[in-house]
Amino acid sequence: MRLKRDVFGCVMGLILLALVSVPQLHAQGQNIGDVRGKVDAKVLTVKLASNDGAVLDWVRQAFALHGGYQVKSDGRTQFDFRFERGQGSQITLIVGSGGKELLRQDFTGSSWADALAQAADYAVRRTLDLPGFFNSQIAFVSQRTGDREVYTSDLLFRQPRQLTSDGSECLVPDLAPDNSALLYTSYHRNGFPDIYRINLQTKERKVFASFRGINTGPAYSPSGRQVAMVLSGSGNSELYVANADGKNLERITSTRGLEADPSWSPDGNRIVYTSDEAGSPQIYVINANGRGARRVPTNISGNCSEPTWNPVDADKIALTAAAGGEFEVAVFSFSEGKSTWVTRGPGDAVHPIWLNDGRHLIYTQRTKQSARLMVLDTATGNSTPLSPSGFTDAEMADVIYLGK
Amino acid sequence: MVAAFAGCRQKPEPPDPGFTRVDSEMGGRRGDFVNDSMVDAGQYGSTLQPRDSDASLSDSMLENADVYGAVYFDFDKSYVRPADQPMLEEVASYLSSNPNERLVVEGHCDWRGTTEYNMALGDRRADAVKQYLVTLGVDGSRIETVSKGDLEAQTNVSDSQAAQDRRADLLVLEQ
Repeated sequence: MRLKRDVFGCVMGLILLALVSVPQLHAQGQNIGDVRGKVDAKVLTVKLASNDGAVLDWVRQAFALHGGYQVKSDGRTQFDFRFERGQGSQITLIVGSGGKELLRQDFTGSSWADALAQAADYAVRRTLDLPGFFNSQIAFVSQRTGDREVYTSDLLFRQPRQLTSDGSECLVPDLAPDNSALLYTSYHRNGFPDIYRINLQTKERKVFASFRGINTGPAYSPSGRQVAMVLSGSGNSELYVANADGKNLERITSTRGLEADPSWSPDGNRIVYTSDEAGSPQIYVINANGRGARRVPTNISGNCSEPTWNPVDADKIALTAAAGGEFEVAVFSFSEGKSTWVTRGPGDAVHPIWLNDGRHLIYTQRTKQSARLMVLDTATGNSTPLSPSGFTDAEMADVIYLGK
Repeated sequence: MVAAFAGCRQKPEPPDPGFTRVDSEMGGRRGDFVNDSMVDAGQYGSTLQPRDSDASLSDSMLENADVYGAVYFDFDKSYVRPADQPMLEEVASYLSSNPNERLVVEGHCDWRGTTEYNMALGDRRADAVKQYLVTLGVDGSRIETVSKGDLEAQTNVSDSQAAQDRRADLLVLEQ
């Protein structure tokens, strides 16, 4: 029985950690293990310190998002993280335990916050043996101005920027993996939903797809070389794939149902998507060349959509599923052939997108009154608000990792 | 703008000035478009129809359009219900006696469900109305469809009010 063994292992682990005065730092590059649920999530106690108030505020906000840490202000902890702000943008990370220094490393970046995100991610990698996700860029939609516009921000919302001022409806922004460009759907030019591409360096904007019907759901492949999207110019919503420069458009599906929500496998060979071919929205997977479409047996709800492929563990997809009049996020495992709920009210949890550690998700928490972005740790089930309340109805997030 | 963010997050220390900054990077309508779609339809040019170059539904056009009526749909469905068929016959006859007018069918969904599925569902609802009118003899080139998905759906409403969002609006434009 997995549960008992895992609880036992977890308890034994904690006892061992308590007995051994200096916890081990993990070597880099090991397997992160599976996302299984609350029982085997390791939680480290940690104290955070800095010589700079702004740095300390930043790391407190960051580590509160990460389900792998319990931040304590005093008493004995397994680790002590100290982030020293130095000259220019330099940040020095010092990891200690029980008064012993285990690690000291310098980080520089385009700003102290950038260096700090790298340092905090390194601390996560060396103590939890997981990729850190703090050095991420997000794009999302908010109705802060009264219209749905696209915004970009660092993960902690220290420098959010309004990217579009279309005065219309903007939706589903998708960042290129190298942060060079953003695709999104907007009605602003002609009143129809077309896909646009914004060069994030020059801010030049071009029409990416403008056919009759809907042009939406853009999704860069993991390499950034291709884009999947939904077009209904044939008379029915279908999946298409083109090169990132718009050439070589290929139709991927051909059904009487409607298709939506393409998301690429980590190796870029397959696409998971929503189709109502069988009567109600369900999850399907297809080779990126358009062959081998088959239903994914999520076995959790008669209404499943918004699949998003785990970037680390190709065995898993997250999805949105109707549950008792609400919508919640579930994680499906191909090898286990079953889904597990990872959110539970109040309100809906929709539009999940994985962070680069393959463990945390950003999703939109939605009620009749408002919407906001949340970070969910699928290993512990803990959700933490991400978007400040000033970002009215923040939703439809995409995220990319800026570090290596 | 600063006021909009006051009290947005518990912060014991004064907020980083960057926290409240939202830079607007792109202002309004700009002349930075190419008019041609970047996506090269290639072999699908015959089935993927580009928008007519004059196809445009500005907000003011739609605000000035005459609302002929609305067709309502069952939850997650897009077929035209028998109750709405007489009205569509009226629309067909109206269009036949007013050859200079054209029709915009705007597909909508309620706020339940997910964004992109609802975009496609609104598209299919609008197209179902168009196809029904075509079977009644209306020239399809006089009918433009647009999906608004759930973007204009009322959220803070009861289930019966939400049902009003599962519809296609029929808007008459003078050519």
